Amino acid sequence: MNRTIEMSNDKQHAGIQPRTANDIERHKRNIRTAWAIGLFALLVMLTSIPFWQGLYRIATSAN
Amino acid sequence: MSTATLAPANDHEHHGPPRGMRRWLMSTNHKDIGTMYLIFALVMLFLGGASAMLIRAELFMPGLQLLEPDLYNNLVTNHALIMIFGAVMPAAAGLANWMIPLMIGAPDMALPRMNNLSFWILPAAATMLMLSFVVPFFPGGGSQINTGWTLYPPLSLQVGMSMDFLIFAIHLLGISSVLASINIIVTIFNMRAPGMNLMQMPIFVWTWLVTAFLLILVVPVLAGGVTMLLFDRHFGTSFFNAAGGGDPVLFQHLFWFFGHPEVYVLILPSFGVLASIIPTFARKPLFGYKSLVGSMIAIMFIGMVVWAHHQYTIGMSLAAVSYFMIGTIIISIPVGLMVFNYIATMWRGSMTFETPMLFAVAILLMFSFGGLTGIMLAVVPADMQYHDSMFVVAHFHYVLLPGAVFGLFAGVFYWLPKWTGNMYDERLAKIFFWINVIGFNLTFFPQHFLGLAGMPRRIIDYNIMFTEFNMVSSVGAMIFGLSHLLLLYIIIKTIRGGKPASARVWEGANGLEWELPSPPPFHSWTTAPQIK
Ligand code: HEM
Ligand SMILES: [Cu+2]
Repeated sequence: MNRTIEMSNDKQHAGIQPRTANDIERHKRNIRTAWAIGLFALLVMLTSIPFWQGLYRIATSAN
Repeated sequence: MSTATLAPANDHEHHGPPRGMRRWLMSTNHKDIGTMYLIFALVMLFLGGASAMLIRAELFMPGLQLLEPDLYNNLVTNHALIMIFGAVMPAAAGLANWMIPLMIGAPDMALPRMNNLSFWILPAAATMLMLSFVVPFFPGGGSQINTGWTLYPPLSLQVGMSMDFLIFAIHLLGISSVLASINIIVTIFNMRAPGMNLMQMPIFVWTWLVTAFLLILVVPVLAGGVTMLLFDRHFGTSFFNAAGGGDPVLFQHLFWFFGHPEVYVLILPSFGVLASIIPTFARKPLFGYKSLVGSMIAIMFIGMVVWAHHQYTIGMSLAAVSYFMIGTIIISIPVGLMVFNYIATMWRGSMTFETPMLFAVAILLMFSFGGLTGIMLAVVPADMQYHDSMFVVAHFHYVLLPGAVFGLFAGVFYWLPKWTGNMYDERLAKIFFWINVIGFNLTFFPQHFLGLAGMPRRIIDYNIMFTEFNMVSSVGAMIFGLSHLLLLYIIIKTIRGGKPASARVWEGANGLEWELPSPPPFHSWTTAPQIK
């Protein structure tokens, strides 16, 4: 995979460059987990707040 | 606790850090990023400290001497935001970056590039924050932020453009902490050395796991709240504007839904530091590991449902007020349990009192005192009197300085030899400890009396009957503030040299971080340790 080659050329990454199939699998899992938590944070912001309700109100009450 | 066997290092990895500015700007190394977080926090500590000393200088005497009222309130706002978002949270994130990978046997954080981004957002955010302070001094800059850190409308809707700078700063700070939290959670979940299960992790790692979850749960709400402020200010919405059918109290709920959990965000990492320090210097295993983990999780959940104890005076129903009162008092049980576990760890240990341990003992005493005034404030009829008085200021400084800041100092002294490879000057550090702790108590103890006697908070002037205690407090503040120059000196001195530190550094220290040399190599645990 392109991505992996690019990472191994990156000096700063040398310490954690994926070396084995296991490492690559872990790298993917890290990114998957990160997205899951990030989307959850977004969900928290969007749902816990009557933000869209208010936006809806301006959107419908204008003119 | 886990033990490790060291595997021989892979020789492809024998390169040092990159040279020059690239090393820092482009860093993906958890140690370098941790160092940057810590340096950033130290700079902010001095900025926030300068504003605090100006505030206390003004309050030395009744009447107006140095400042005018709006500038005073601007300083109060700026002080709190800098200390919370600029000093304490980044310092705790610095410790997390440095220590979590070392403690769990991981080669780095799970998402190193995102780690770089989380840090480098901070200087931008700090710039916005400082701009929100100075913009009003320029022609056409509008009025100063006189709301305090709580940014309550309707006042925050009336402030000039500096409020927009502040809202943007809060957005940036929020993005930075959410990204950092994601990184920490992923690291803890996916990067532990083989064989280390969650219940074998050091408590410091646990405290950060809980803290990161708390941040994910509450920071987006603050972001939403200030975004609604921004919309009310510029886009004609009326979320908080009563004239347009909105409700200013809604903002208070959103703010404190973030604000109360935030206080646990501030103290939990420092409590994690204590869980490392106390067993080391008591030479005994930590007492009650499982109950510590349980307490933290309880604090996380209960901490999210007690927010309205900051708003007793808004006129809630009796049922609501009673619920928030009971919830708030209940939460002091898990908090107290953590303190008891630490005391039980010390019980009959062979204790020595190096600086980290001195701080640890002082923290337990002073934090508990702050917890007690917290319970006083939790009682609704009592809080009707105490609310918005200097008593509240005394309460939260007694929990926040010992609970958060001193814990971070203790952690810095504890791990500085590990980071730099040099021992710090123990004699100077002890002198710092005593000046610091005495200065702190001189500053904030009298504020209890001032509050009980009726002196309001966030007001530049006061009745002459409050003069004496204010003078004591201001003198204490100068001692306390200046003592941090000694801290700076000790840190610089240690970085430049000193008695070489051994790998274990402290006789009683346990944990993976002590299996590595001091300082650890640029890339550590490239081969995961075996946990037995
Ligand atoms: C035993 C546990 C605690 C209880 C029962 C408690 C209770 C309270 C109550 C009722 C208030 C509102 C007072 C008022 O405005 O009238 C308050 C304010 C405050 N507490 Fe606590 N507290 C506790 C622990 C803590 C901890 C551990 C921290 C932070 C490290 C903290 C930080 C604060 C802050 C910052 C404020 C003031 C916020 C502001 O108005 O600017 N408290 N506390
Ligand atoms: Cu609270």
